[in-house]
Amino acid sequence: MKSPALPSSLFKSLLSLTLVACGATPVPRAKESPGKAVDVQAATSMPDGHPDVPVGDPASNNDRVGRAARRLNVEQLRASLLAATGFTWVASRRVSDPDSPTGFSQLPDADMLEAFAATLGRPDYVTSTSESIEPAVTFAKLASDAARVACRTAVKADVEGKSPPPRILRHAGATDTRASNESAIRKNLGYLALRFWGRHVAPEDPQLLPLLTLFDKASTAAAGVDTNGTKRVAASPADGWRAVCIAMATDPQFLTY
Amino acid sequence: MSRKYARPGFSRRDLLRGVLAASAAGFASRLGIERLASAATARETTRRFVFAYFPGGWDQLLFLDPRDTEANEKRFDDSNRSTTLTETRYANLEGHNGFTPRLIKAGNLTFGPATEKPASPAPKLSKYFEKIAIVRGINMGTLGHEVGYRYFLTSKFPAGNTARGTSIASECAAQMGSSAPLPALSLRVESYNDRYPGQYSAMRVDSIDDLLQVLDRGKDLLERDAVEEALADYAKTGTSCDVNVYDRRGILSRMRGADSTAHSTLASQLAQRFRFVGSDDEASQKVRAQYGFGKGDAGSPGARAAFAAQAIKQSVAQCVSLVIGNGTDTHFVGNPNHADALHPGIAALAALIDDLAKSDAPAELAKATGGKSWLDHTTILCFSEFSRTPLFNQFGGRDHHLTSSCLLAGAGIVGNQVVGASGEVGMGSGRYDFKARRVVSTGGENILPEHIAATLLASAGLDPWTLRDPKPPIPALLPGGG
Repeated sequence: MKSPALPSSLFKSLLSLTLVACGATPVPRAKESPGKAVDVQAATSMPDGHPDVPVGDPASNNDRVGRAARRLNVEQLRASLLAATGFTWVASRRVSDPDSPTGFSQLPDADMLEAFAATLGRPDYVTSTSESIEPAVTFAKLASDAARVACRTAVKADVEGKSPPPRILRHAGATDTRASNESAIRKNLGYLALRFWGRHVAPEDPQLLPLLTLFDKASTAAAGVDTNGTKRVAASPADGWRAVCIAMATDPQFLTY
Repeated sequence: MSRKYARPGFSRRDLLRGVLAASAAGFASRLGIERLASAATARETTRRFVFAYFPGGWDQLLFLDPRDTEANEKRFDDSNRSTTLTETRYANLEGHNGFTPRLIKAGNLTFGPATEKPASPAPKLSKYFEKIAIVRGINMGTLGHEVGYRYFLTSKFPAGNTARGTSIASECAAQMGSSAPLPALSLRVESYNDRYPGQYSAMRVDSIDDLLQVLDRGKDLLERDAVEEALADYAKTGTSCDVNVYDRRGILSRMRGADSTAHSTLASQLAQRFRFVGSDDEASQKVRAQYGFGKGDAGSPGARAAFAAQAIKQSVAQCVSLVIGNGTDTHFVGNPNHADALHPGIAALAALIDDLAKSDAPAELAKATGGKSWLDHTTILCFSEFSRTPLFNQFGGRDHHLTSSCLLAGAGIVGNQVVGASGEVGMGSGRYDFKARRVVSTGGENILPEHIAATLLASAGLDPWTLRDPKPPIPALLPGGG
């Protein structure tokens, strides 16, 4: 039997048109039904001439848009530090050891985030079965400790060129200061905003000013003795980048998602 | 940010709160306890609270709700267990680890035989009977560990296993507007906060070492002074509007609040006050002897109780929650083993009360409320998630039982009394007439954790009607009946 050529080609054309039409609508509408998860596909870009799609209605959403931000849990914090700096919080730690004559032994490279996981909110399924992701004082302090260790190691590795490509000093040299090369400093700060916070911030954006000030103070500090008796030599740009790294890794923009 | 994003001055939540407050006040008036309804006018801001949790479900026949086997023509003799549905087997404790089968009577209180070891020189709980009140016959409404635990913590029945509401410790801290370095501190106790600013969420630590890690920062992690100051300045910098617009629940501002508290806590060098577990100085040795634990034994009930006492006495925290007991979920062992598990927590509690009673409060506190010792400024709640069955199971142990008891002690509590009762048969939850202030056989209602939480709040002049499922306080426990 001879196949009907016209209807077949017409069908293919209609199918192609349909696919093209679907492809021209890259932002599918979220479908919600009670008890089911919302399936939202990521949009690449809006088609030409498409009107702006509002991200939400702040007036009816308690002045906010999108879903509520959440604090990172322990695993996310570790993964985020590793992704941003290449390092996490590893330190020497005294642990109980029944086989030791003193009852304790010293672990030289303990994963401190693992050691403090319960304090940071991970459930132990004995006394707690739900994860705490409240922005507690404990979390603030320990996350800051973790950031300090990771940033110290990352900046040192970048300055010494041990782990190319550099993660922190990507667009600024190890000797660049605000006075000698402000544009490089600003460009690197913008890059770090993207690296740590996932935000595009232009080098000339005023939002970078507090970080620029911090870098300047930390990289130009004079030699002296701290109140706890620690002697300090004159600061270098590496000190400035370490301070910037700590500030970014302890910023709520890094610690929430 | 555009003006249209501005928060309205009066939200639906505010309206609901207003309606709830009005309803609660009306409810209170109907119960004839109007003075309690307006308790907030006499709000104390210096009160301290200790929430001591015995995990696993305790045997109240051995502690807070014993049966006198000699009284009422030996009604509760084990030979009558088929009619009383209660079996004490106290005789099993004779000669076991310093326990005796005898009940401990002090004033109007009677404690079970696991409460004290008569020959032990350690502080005795019964010595402080005038400061202690016992609430019996509490209906926990659950036999699940997590459910009962979270119910008592929040005074709101959980949804499944999930806690609802705010921990009473955070509720107290928030209502007092605590300005302590750590408004609420929690040693291995869960903490919830669903409506107050982040600074009232408990600092939750898993061990005393963890607290030291939180209170202190090693030299190797410190930047030079100038950089530390610059970092602190940076932390106070606000986030731009295009980030804040995604902050639907205020988490960014709460994180900044927590960060600020962490900075001030580090600056105050509080860590030195918590090194009593491993230090050899005289003060540390004295603490260890007082609480009966050895050097390095940070996990013992005594060390945990000492931790709570230090937190209170050094004004580090205003509301301290701790797991004071060892686990008592003993389905397969009898009285001797359960007493072994239960007693260390009770001994630690006795040492804590003894310590607070013997320690002078600062002059400004004494001047404010007239109380001289720390116990005069501290209210202690001791609880478990439920209790053990009054009859033994086939393995010679006790399973989970709905009816429980709790102990209240210290400031704002009328001591030397027992409120409520468990049933004469099978220790069911008794009925209590809140207006007549007595146990009744018909009418009345069950005492619930909500009543206990409301009583704690009212004892310090805080508002019990802000709780999510408000119940009236127990008037008999409050000075002057409230």
